Amino acid sequence: MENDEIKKILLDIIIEIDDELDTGNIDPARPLRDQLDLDSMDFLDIAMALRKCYQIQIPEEDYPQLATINSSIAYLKPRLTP
Amino acid sequence: MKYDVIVIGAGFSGLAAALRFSRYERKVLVLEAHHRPGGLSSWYTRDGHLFETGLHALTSFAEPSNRAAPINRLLRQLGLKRERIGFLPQSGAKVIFPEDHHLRFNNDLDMLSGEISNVFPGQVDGFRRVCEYVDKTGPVGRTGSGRDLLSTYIGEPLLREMLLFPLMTYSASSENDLDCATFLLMFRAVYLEGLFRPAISIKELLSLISDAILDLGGEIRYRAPVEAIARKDGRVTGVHLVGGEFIPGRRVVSTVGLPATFDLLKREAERPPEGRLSFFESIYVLKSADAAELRGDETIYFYNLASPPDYYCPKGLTGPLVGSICLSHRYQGKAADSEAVIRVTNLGNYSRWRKLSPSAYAEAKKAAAGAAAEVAEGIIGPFRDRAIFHDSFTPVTINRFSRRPGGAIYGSPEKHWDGDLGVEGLLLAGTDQGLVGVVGAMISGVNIANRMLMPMRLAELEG
Repeated sequence: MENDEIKKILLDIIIEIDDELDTGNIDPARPLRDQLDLDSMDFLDIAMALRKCYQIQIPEEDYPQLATINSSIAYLKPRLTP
Repeated sequence: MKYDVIVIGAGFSGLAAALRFSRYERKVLVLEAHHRPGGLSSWYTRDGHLFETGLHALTSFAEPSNRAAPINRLLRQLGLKRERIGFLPQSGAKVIFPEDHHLRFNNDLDMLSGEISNVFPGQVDGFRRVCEYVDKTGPVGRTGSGRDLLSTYIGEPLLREMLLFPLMTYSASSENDLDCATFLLMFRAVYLEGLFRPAISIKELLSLISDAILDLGGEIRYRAPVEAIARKDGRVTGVHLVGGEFIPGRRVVSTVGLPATFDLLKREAERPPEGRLSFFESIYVLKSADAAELRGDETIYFYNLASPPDYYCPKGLTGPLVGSICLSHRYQGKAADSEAVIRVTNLGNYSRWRKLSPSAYAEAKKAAAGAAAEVAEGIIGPFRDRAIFHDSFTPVTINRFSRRPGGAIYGSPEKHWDGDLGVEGLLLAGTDQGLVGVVGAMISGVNIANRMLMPMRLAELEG
């Protein structure tokens, strides 16, 4: 799966959590938390949505890998690509 | 078929927990003893009118733009759209004490600060400091007396009692004080955040949540009272229903309160004391034109006209001098042509009501309603003669429909903040987990669900 596709999956999940968030100008290298005012529960929702829609089990020690778009892509790529 | 989660109780905490789970778990089941959802905050119909049971106001008001506010966070985690609920803020509230002392507040903290500056000029700095303290202090792990905490900031006893009284009215599980944790939560929820009601009815709000659960594949069974929570080797294995049916489940969330949960665990010896504070409430429906002629413009009045003011379980059936009035038509944005519902609420003594014979009960109910209305009419003007409908309920009614021991809607004085009762796979949610009111119950349900869903490492993301 391409990086842009993974990014879109992530942003779609974030919009699903809160459709008022502005995801247009996200810096992929900076923490999502700072840019979108996400809290820890929002990250749980992202992880849960990935599990539900893409059957990816993210063990708890890996949650910090979802901190930025870039780190998420690096982490999810091998798991989303069959 | 084994359920991932079985939630006992379809009140607001149980439904919120179930909705949160349904978004992520495959198999969720809610079991409700009654034939409709809502628990302590439900509805009934009489003579073609729809009545909510007990609801005055929801706490924790916030504007939609405030993402981090508990209410917005709650709705986000439940996937509920705020626009479908509609937020109607209070127009204002007034605390009334003997000798014509009064204090007004609304959802803008500046109003209350201004009132305090005018009436108690020496106290306003202390008030500002207590607001700052509450704003940065979480409730968990806090012990001691809420009044003692307030005393360290507010030296003037009258102001202290006037600030404490509305908070006790909407949350106290023990007499004449709040525990420190509840005080912190309620001070924030009522004064720093504010009071409102949904534009939709409680019935519609319950449908919104239960439909969302069903849409996600969750199940809700009514008239399904639970007899026992089954365990093996210290772990939950399911529940037994009254009548014998066994339902297997990996996890159970109990929202039936601490005493009843110990009963379901057959650990009656650990049953905590029951709460002593229950309520007597009368509801009057007025045509909008008649309601418009009532005195004042506040949505809620908190009056404590006893001397000295206190908040103990009354020695008689009710304590008419201590109570609150809520006027539904004075919520901002309420349709002007709608009928007005006036609620007059006092503390009631459950054991005294319980002991009455059926005929004495009916007479006592009438007398208590009359005594309560007389005091309330002294505040907002006459309404009884214009009421097109009137109904009252007693602590016994509350007990019958909510199953809360002693009709104590704010639960047991003993709270379990972590929800843990020492059984793997079981957590307690709702009033006895420490969060009260409709919003508190829902936050509790979501928090408990998150705790079961959430890996511990999430805290690291918070940085």
